[in-house]
Parts: sequence; structure tokens; C-alpha cells
Amino acid sequence: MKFILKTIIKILIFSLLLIIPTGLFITFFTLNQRDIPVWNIGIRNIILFAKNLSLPIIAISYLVATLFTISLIDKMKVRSLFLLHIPPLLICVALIIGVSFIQQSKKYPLSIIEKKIQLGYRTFLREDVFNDVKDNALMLKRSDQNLFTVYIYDKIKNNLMVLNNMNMGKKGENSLFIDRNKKQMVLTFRQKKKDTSLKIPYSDFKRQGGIINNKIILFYVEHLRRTLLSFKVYFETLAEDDKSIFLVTVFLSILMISIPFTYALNDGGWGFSGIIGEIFVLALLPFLYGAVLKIVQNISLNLSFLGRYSYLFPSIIFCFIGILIDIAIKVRGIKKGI
Amino acid sequence: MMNKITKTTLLSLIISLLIAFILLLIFFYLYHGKNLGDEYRQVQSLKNALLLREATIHSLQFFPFVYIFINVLSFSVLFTLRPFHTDSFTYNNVAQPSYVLLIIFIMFIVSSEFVIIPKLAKENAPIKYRLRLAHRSASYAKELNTVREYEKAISVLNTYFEIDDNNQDMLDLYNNIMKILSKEPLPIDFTKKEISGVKEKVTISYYEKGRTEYEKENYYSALYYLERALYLHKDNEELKELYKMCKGQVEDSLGKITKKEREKKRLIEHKERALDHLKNEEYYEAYNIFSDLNKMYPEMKDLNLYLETVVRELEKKDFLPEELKNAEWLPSMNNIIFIDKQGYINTVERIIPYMDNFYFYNIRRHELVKGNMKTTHWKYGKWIKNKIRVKNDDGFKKIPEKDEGLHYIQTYIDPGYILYMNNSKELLTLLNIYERFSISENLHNSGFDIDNKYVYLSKKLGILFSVYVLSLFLSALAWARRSIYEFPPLLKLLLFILIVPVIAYFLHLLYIDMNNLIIYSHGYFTRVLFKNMNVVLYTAIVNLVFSLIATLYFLSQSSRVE
Repeated sequence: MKFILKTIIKILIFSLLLIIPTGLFITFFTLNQRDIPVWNIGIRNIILFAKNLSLPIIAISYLVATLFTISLIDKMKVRSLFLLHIPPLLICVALIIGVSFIQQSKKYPLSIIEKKIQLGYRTFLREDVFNDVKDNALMLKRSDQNLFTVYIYDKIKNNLMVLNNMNMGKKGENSLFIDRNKKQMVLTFRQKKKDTSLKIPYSDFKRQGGIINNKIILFYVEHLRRTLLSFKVYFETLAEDDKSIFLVTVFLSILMISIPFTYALNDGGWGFSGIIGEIFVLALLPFLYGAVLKIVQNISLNLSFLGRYSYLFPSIIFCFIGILIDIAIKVRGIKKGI
Repeated sequence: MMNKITKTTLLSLIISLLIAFILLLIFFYLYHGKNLGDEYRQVQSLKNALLLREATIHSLQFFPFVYIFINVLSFSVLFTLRPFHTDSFTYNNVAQPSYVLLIIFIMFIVSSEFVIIPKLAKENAPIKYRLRLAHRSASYAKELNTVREYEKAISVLNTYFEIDDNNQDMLDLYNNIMKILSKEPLPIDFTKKEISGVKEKVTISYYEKGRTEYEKENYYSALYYLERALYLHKDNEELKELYKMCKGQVEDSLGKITKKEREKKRLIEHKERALDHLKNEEYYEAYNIFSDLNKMYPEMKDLNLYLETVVRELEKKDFLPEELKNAEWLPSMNNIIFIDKQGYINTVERIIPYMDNFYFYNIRRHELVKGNMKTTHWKYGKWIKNKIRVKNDDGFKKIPEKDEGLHYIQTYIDPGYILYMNNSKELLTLLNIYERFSISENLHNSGFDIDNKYVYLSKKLGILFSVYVLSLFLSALAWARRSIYEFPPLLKLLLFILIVPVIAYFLHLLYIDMNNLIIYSHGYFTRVLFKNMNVVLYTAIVNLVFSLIATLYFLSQSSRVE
């Protein structure tokens, strides 16, 4: 009981410590993926955006904290492998019940709700300098309190376009506004007696942030995105009621496989290699899950024994692998590493 | 005195760092070598110099995370191996030298970030241009040879030989063209330099040249040199005598050129007027007369020489479009936009930096006034005396004082920086700390999107604190969870060596991003507390808190195995 309580406290402390950096990382990363410059949107918008992503933030920081605790656990103090699974699963179940309760009381489904963050021209552009916009340089020069002159220089054709008396944020003639639905900045103006508009997608603006734009991270994320996409496709084929069950079982199965895996990598003789092992597990897990999902989708299996819960099959495979690792550890001796 | 373990610690850390740096250098050398564009491959020696500098710049930029990795590796594995297995071993034996080395390394990063990297990048810029020039010269000379413009091809090849005189293909091309031109291939004089000297030497040379030309019966040339010598040495009797003789010969000869006495008189009057202008440094007026006279009397060498003198003087403040037309084939930086001091937005189609000159082609100026759609266009521009003199196809023409603003562009920054207005990343690498402080504002006024000097300093602080905090924190964590094996399991060691550098790299980037977040929060913080607090001070204080925690954690470790 003492071991379970101590482990629960450790996981909770690590979760609390990790929630801010994980939250910031996920928020900035998601903003960056949506081509929104992270340093210009203001702290209110960042908090709002993080709030929208609270569920994945809590889930990931909890998962990392759990694995971190297990990778650093003193193997000499672990009497039973079964007991080791109890604290993370207990917190997880408590979290799931808590989140479901909050979601139900507020009457919105478990999916991520996006409250609109506010975007303006200042999110993308700085005044009085040439902002890099793909092959153009764009400068805003305030000419009046609410009016601007917009200079758009085409760096390929060496052509400068000048738009006078532009209104900021208001849709209409001679204006610059953000079209959130199409993820673009729109400039409308009259040229040669014709109403013209120039559309600049968010992706044309300069990206900000070091790690979130790192080539290795972007490469990893691209592969992660593909896995998540196949996950999403699978998820959307499910009935509304099954979606919540699917998400919960996926998360539980991830815990079921990663706990013994991390424990196996935990080396009492070299603790630091255990931490490395945890990172290794975290980096590999999404792809492992993606692979299982692909196998399930591509190979026609007779899953009639699962009835309407056939979507639980990938999670069952994960749990099964986890149990196999558990058995292997048990056979080898729970105090040993691999 | 240092004990044996301390010495071994220092030695192992320094050797590990050196090995890591050399490996990094080799990696980046090969990486850049593979990705180098064709235009940078023409001259082997320059290509190697470029690659070496590029590799050094990147190795220095990546070295902070390598240092963090070496620390983690040392505290996790190296310091647990046999050489450290002695009875007298304490944690302090490895912690103290590591800490001292960390401080020294941070000082190295300071110099690297603020001085060494910008210096190397600055050295690279002309190398890159010379390589592009060599590549362009080689291809252009071949093109000219194909279309049988041999003389121009020779001139282009001479430009090429100024950069590389060992390329056999180019030497063969040069010799072939010379054969076609039915001339003996002349030895190429690579040491040819512009003649410059002190005033006395010029005087002697004027007199001597005058006498030589007189002896050769080139009386007009002699007259020019003797007049110039006499202008400087009025009382030299020997000179006066020779001048008198020469003038007599010229007057005789003048009779052969024009028999009309009126025309002769007018020629003498005009020349005297032009000489007066020259004396009064009214070069535009002198140029007008001498160029007219030179057209009318091309046989009179003295007029031609006077014209050359005037042109030389005028070129100090003006230029002839021919100079830019001749340079048009050179590689350039294209499509650049900047704001000038006079309140215009300028777009330039091409800028050519060549032999300390900057040539501008197709300049459009748009006044930064609300509702003003008027644009002025100039074909050519040249950087002269801290301004860009712009013109169309005009020769030397004096500009009325009231119109000077139209014919000169007064820039906030030197053209060496304007060249990179299109490439912000490269420009920011080129600027050292002094430049970041002295020209940041001017760059901003020119329309360049640049952080102010305090934000720049705060960002650099992030790199330094990242190395300090992460090295100490991860070293302490690595020590607390160090290997107790005699030698760690090979598979895990391999995994460790593969994964830890990547983790160190990402943690370093994360720390820098976190530092950016600290800088970002400064605006919010000063709204609530300490309204005038400088962002550098704010960033330093927050980072110091992290440093303190990391230092305490590092110092709290001991030799005890938990």
C-alpha cells in the first residue's frame, strides 16, 4: 500500500511539473502546424489555445510522468510487477471518470472543442519593416489612425505594388482582413477600376520558434501526422457512443504496453540508461500503434467474437504485447533489467 | 597542485571535446561539400576555403549541445571507469575541473557567438562572390569565344585569372583566342596594380614623361606632361625651357591641323578656359570643353590626356554609364528593396559588388507619402562617397544643388549590408556584436526586420544559460544515475551514444525557446511590475534562478552510490 501511495504521489508531482512545458510545447507545436506565428498572438490567445488542447496536454504529461517515474524506480523496492501497474492505472481511471464527469456536466462530447482564438494583422505582420511573405516582402505603413499604406514587393519579378488607405480587420473595399475559415489573409482593393483581392495563405508567412521548426522534429511529426491521420480515419468510422470507449481503451492499452516496456529498460546498475529507454519508448509508441492499426485495417480478420466492439482489437493487441513483456520480466526476474 | 584524478578528468574532457569537435567539423565539411551549388565549385582552393569556414561556423553553432552531451557521457559513464577507481576519489575531483572547464567553455561561446562566427561568415561572403565570379567568367568567356567576340573574351578571362591562374582549361582557352587574334600569347601579369604615388613622384614623372615624349617627337603628349609639371613647379628653369621648345613645336604642328587662324585662336582660347576650370577644380565645365575639343581634334594627344585627367577627377564623385554597362555580365544580387534617408522606398533589380565598387541597375524610387503613386526610375547607380549616385544614359552632367536629392540616394546603411536585404538569415549571421549595436537601428530604418539590440543580447544570453544550466543539471542527473558496472552493457552504451546527443540537441533548442518565452513575457511583466526594467536584465534574472537551482543540484551530488 505504501509503495502504491508513494508511486501515485511521484507520478502526480511529475505530472504537475511537466504539464506547463508539455502544454507549451503542444500548444506552440499545434499553432505552428496551423501556420500561426507563435510569438505574436498574445498570452490570452496562447492560454485559450492551450485550454482547447487541455485533454491531450493532460494525457501526454501524465503518460510521460508515469514512464519517467517507472524508468527511475528502484527495482529493489518493487515486490510485485502487478503492483507496479496499479498506481498509473488508478490515476488514469480517476482522470477518465473526472474528465467524463466534467464533459457530461458541460454537455459537450469528449472531442476537443475549439474556442476561437483572436487573429489580427499583427499576428502575422510587423509595421514599418519588410515582412517576408514567401516570394514577397510586405510592409505596412500607418498613414492615418486606422488607415495603412500596404507595400507589396514581388522579389521574383521586382515589382512593387502600393495599396493606399487600407482598413485593417474590416471586410470590404480597400481592406486587409483575416479569413479564418480558409486560413488566409485577404487584401481587397480596386485596380484598373476592378475590385481585386489578393489572398495570402498563413503558410506563406515566416515561421517562428526553434525546436518546432527543427528539420528532424518536422520529419518525425510528418510521420506522426500520417499515423494520427489513419487513427482519425479509423476513429471517425465509429459510432458516437463508441468513440469515447475507443479513446479510453487506446490510452489504457498504451499504458499497458509502455509500463512493462519502460520497466524492462530500467537498469538498476545504470539509471540514466533507463531514462534514455523511456524516451526511446515514447518516440516509438505512436509508430507501433500505427503499425498495429494498419495491420488490422489491411488484413481481413474474423473479429466476430468481439461483436460490435471489434474496434477494440488494436488495443487488445497492445495489451497482449504488454502482458507478454510482463511475463518475460517475471520469468527473467523482476529485479533484473534487459 | 592538481591531483592525478583532477588531471585525468581535465584531460579526458578536453580530449573528448576535441574529438567531438573534429568529428563535427568533418561531418559538416562533407555535408556542405555534397550540397554545394555548382557555381561554388569552379576554383578548388577557394571551394576548400569556403567549405572549411562553413563547416567551422556550423560546428561552432552545434558545439554547445556537443558540450552538454560530453558532460552527460562523462558523468554517466567515463568518470565511473577504471582510471577513476581509486581510494582517494571524491565527487569533487571530477566536479571541480568540469565546472572550471564549463566556465571557460562559456567564455569561448561568448566569443564564438559575438565575434568568431560573424567574422568567419564575413570572410565567407567575398569567397562566395569570387567563386560565383570565377564560374560566371569561365562560362561567359566560353560563350564569347563561341560567338567570336575574342577581345571581350580575353578581357573576361583576365578577370578570371585574377581569381584563379592555375586552371588549365582557361589557360588553353586564353592561348587559343590569342592565336586566333594572331598575336603571340603574352605572359599574364598578375602583379599589375593601379599606379599611385606621392605628389613629388608624380611631378618627376610628369617632367620625365614630358621629356621622353618630346624626344619621341610626340609633342602634344609632351605638352600635356610639361604643362602639368609646370603647374606644380613654376620656377624650374630647365622645365620652362623644355616647355617653350615643346610649345613651339606644337604651334608649328597646329598649322598642319588647321590653317584657319580664327579656328586656331578659338582652340587656344577654349583650351585655356578649360585649363582655368581644371585649375579651379570645376571639373564638369572642364570636361565639357575637353570632350568637345577631343572630338574635334583627336590627333591632339594633350587634349585626350587632359580629358583623362578630368574624367579621373570626376569619377571621384560621378560615373559614366559605360563603366556599368561593361560590368553587366558580372554576377549580382537581385531584386532588393530598402528605404532611404530621404523617405523613398527603393527597388533595385541588380546590385554588383566588384573591386570595392557597388553598381546598381534599374532603380525605382517611390516616395513614402500617403497617396503618392509617383515613381522615378534610374537605369544606373554607383556607390560614391557614402551615397548612391543615380543616372540614366547621361555623361558627366553637373546637377543643380536643388535637384541633388533626386540624383543621390542617401542610405541608412552601407551597400555591403543592402546586398543582403533579401536574405535576412545570412545578414544576421554576418553581424558581430559591435554591428548589432551600432547599425541595428539603421537596418530597421531601412526596412529590415531585425530585433532590437536588447532582444538580441537576451537571445544570446539564452544560449549561454542553456549550456550552463543543462550541463550542470544533466551532469548531476547523470551522476546520480551513473553506471555502477565495471564497463556498461554494450547495447545500452550504443543506445546511449545514439540517443543522448539528439536529446542534448533538442533540450538545448527547448531551452532557447523557453528563453524566447521569457523574453516574450517581459512585456507582460513590466506592465505589472518594474515598468522600466530592461529586457536583458529581466532575462538574466530569470535565467539566474534556473542556474542557481542547477548549480545547487550539481553541488549536492556526492561520491556515495544510492
